[in-house]
Amino acid sequence: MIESPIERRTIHLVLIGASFVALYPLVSIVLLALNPPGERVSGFTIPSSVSFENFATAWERGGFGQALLSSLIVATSVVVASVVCSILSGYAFATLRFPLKNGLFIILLAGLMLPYEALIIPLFFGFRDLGLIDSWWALILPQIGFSVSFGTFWMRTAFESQQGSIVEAATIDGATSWDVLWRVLVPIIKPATLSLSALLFLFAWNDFLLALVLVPQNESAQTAPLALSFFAGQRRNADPAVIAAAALIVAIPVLVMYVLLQRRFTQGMTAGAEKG
Amino acid sequence: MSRPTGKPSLPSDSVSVPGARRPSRFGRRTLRGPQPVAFLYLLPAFAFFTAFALVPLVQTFILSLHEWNGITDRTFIGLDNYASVFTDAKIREALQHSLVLIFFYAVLPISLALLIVGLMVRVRVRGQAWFRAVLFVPTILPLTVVAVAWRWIYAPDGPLNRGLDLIGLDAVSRAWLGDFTFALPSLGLVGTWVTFGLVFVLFVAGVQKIPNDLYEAAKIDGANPFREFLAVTLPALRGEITVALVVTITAALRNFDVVFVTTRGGPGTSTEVPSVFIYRSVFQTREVGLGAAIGVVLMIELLLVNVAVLWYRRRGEDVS
Amino acid sequence: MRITNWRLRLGRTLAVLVALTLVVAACGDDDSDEADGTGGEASSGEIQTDGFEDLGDVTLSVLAEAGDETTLARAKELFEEQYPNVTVEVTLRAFDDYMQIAPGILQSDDPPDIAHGNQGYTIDGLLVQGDLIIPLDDYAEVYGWEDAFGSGTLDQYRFNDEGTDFGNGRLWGVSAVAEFVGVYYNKEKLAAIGGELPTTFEEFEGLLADAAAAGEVPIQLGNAEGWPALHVYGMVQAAYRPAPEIRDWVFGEPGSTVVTDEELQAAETMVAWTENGYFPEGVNGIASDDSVAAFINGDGVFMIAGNWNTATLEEGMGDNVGYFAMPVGPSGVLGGTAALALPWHITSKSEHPDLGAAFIALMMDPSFAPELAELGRVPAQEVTVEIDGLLADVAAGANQVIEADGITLYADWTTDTMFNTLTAKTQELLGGQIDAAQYLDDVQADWEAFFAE
Repeated sequence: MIESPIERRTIHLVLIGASFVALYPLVSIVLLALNPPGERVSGFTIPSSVSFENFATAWERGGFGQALLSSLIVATSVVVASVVCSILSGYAFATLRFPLKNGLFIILLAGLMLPYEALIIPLFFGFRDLGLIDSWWALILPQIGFSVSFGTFWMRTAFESQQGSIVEAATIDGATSWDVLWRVLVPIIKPATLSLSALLFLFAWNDFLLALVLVPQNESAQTAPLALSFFAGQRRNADPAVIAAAALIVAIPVLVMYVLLQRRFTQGMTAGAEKG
Repeated sequence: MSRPTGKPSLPSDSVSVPGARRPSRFGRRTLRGPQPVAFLYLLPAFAFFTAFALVPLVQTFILSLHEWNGITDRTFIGLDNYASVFTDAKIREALQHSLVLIFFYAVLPISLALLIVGLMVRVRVRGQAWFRAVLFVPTILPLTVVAVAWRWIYAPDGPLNRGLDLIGLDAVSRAWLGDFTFALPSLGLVGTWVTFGLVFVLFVAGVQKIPNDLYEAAKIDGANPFREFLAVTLPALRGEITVALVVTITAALRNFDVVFVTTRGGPGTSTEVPSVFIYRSVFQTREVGLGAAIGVVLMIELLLVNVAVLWYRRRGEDVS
Repeated sequence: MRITNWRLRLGRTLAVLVALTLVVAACGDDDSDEADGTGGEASSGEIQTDGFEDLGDVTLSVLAEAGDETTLARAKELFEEQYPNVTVEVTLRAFDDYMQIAPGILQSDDPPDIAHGNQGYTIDGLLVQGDLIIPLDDYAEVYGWEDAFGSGTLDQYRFNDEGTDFGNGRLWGVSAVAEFVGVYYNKEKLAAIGGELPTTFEEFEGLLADAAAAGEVPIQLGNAEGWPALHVYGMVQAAYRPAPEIRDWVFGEPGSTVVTDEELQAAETMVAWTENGYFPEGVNGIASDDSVAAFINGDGVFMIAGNWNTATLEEGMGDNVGYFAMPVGPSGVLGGTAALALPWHITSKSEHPDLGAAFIALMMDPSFAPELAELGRVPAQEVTVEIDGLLADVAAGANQVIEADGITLYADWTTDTMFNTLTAKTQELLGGQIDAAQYLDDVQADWEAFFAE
């Protein structure tokens, strides 16, 4: 291919510019947060000296230790339960024969189009009646319900992409469908399972509305994004630098995960396209 | 981004192409009759799905037919809430805002990404993986964090205004999120920032699957870059564009976190959106039935968008 | 240092009128009075007011608006000292978050034992309608709250049992703190523009013009939340319109309206101040707490805001900040936005209502008043407290308004949607989206819709 040097330069400049735009908001709060406490900052100021005290203040005042723990517990529970449910149902849809298969699959997939903003009202009153408001259950259970649609779709695709011969061989050996699933298939589809887990973890970690509605008071069950929102709303006690530090505390786990599992995220979030 | 309907793209495709129609590649020999054990495999997923998605869905419909303050007894009022949704100026305004947001969440990032990807196909880009990784970062951040960061960017003495001052555009600087004209577009651009990475990565992946000879052929036909884009790149990305539209429009219509953390719908009602209305209807204005009706309308909007986009894609496939 | 005697006098013009009366009296050296006479011994048979040691380890959960942070910290310390077996667990939320989530939380199965509400239909009316809080009349009797405040003063915490008649019926909440909106000023800045403390509203407007001409921000204000400018409007409104009329409107007296010539003048004054650049640029995009910080940093000659800012301002500005009541305007009488603070409620599901009441009683007790004053808050009971500095200015200003029967209460209490209506409409007024007449029409429309039912 013959390349024009001008085009080459242009596209690189565009991409560098876009990267700057993509990172700057994050960088700007890093710069803000690193200021010594009480410094009056504005605009582009680069901190004259680096101080982590704003992080300490945010950590202490915002209760982020507990919030990160809550987020971790909620997200992990959602991921484990959703992935197990999705493996089972995805396997059934991919390999087993049963009546109403198409109908059930479509109903489940319709869940992907359901905005849970619309479901939040009955969820709030339902959990209120169950006395589960302000508990982790109120966050974990609905998120499993919302995740299984996507998970089932994902796992079904993963199972379908496997060679039928492996299953056949195992089945001839007299293995039950259960054995085939856990002994033969699950080990093979580990990468797909891991990608799904990473995505579901991200969604669960980032959730805000559910936490806002279902865990409004109990600080020990409050997730990190919710703690951030409350903390950021309470400016009386925190200058923008401390709030910026708080935002970074909430973002760091996600960023670390992204750096470690970058490909799983980018591929995972775009994979469905090819699979359709 | 938060959990999406359809986030990871594609659900919708599969609705139209239910996998079940395709015979499974394995087990044909052994799996003859129905296997009722399948229902046991389905049980856990369906139990959760039914309890926490289907049942609330039905309850939302039922609530939308009632007048209820969430505390005392509720009264059946038929479709009155829906009448309010379409006649109440504030709610209509909120619905209109979500249409404006579609431009910023969907149209703008998709156009930008197409433009950039169109340029990228013509040269070998160095560090492509790096760019992809960096541009994707906004997509994975919690929206609450995004909101805090942008609240600072847009602050009266934040980086944007100081930057404008530096280049002599002091006259333009303002309290962006407190300005009746600019607050909504400002929030919209946050959406563009968030969705661009996903759209971009999607398109880059799509472009990589385009056989090189298509471009060679276009060159031989003497196509200029623009023609080449229209003749090769754009049609080949049809699938990815569909996906991008579904995901980004969904995000635009559901937008809650950013508005809630930054403007709460203000100044005035200039950034009011349906999901914030739903939230308020339960906790602040206590018009639960009305909130439920807005939820139902939101659901129908999303359904229509999905159907329309799928229809567009289908049509594309039939033509080709 | 000055010694001030805070006293409340019942002022009552209409059935539901509230008037807080603080009288400043120069006192000698009696630094604490025994205005008490209330105490626990008056205990009725059923209510437990002491001896909570026997409860074993208990947690008293408190949900509060964040402005009470320091007050609660002190009260918690004292209460836990008295009852080592009790742990007071405080959850704080910023005002805007609080107004959104409080009703939801109180509906939950395990609400806090005591929680803030907000006077009027927006919050308290709903809590009463839903049986979410219990009436406090018996506690008021045992602890003598009525005597300490005058029963009319507490009317703003009253509702009928159905939660449909504000200002009448049983007592559902209490607070010992008085909150006033007034004018803070930067002493150096005022001197720099050659100004003296205004004695009329007209003079005040003159100072604003002088400040603007000198290139200063005349009035520091951040209205991102919508309610801060509402407080400013309340002061302008009171300059044009006598307080009793405004209170009638708040309490829903039939025939009340804001569509009057005086109100129009007030609303147009707000518009004029905006157009003249008396408020900071982008006022609707500045958070109120950020504007307080800006005022401390020297942006702004005046700041019209609530006295809950006193401690913050004094800490930040030292002697350089002063306070006065908005001087008398065309209405001919002094007036201003003021009321008792957000009420404390005891939730219906609380397992330890008596314990909760005891904790509230601690904060209501005259002996706690000096603590409040120390924290920069204005205690509202009849009690003598030593105060000095800015708080003394605040108290003096508040007393003037009270003496003139000028308290207007808060307009956002008026209907269940008024808080939202006023915050949005006030932003629109300042943003030039609607004119003064439209503003009043829209606000009145909310009032009519509510009271028509």
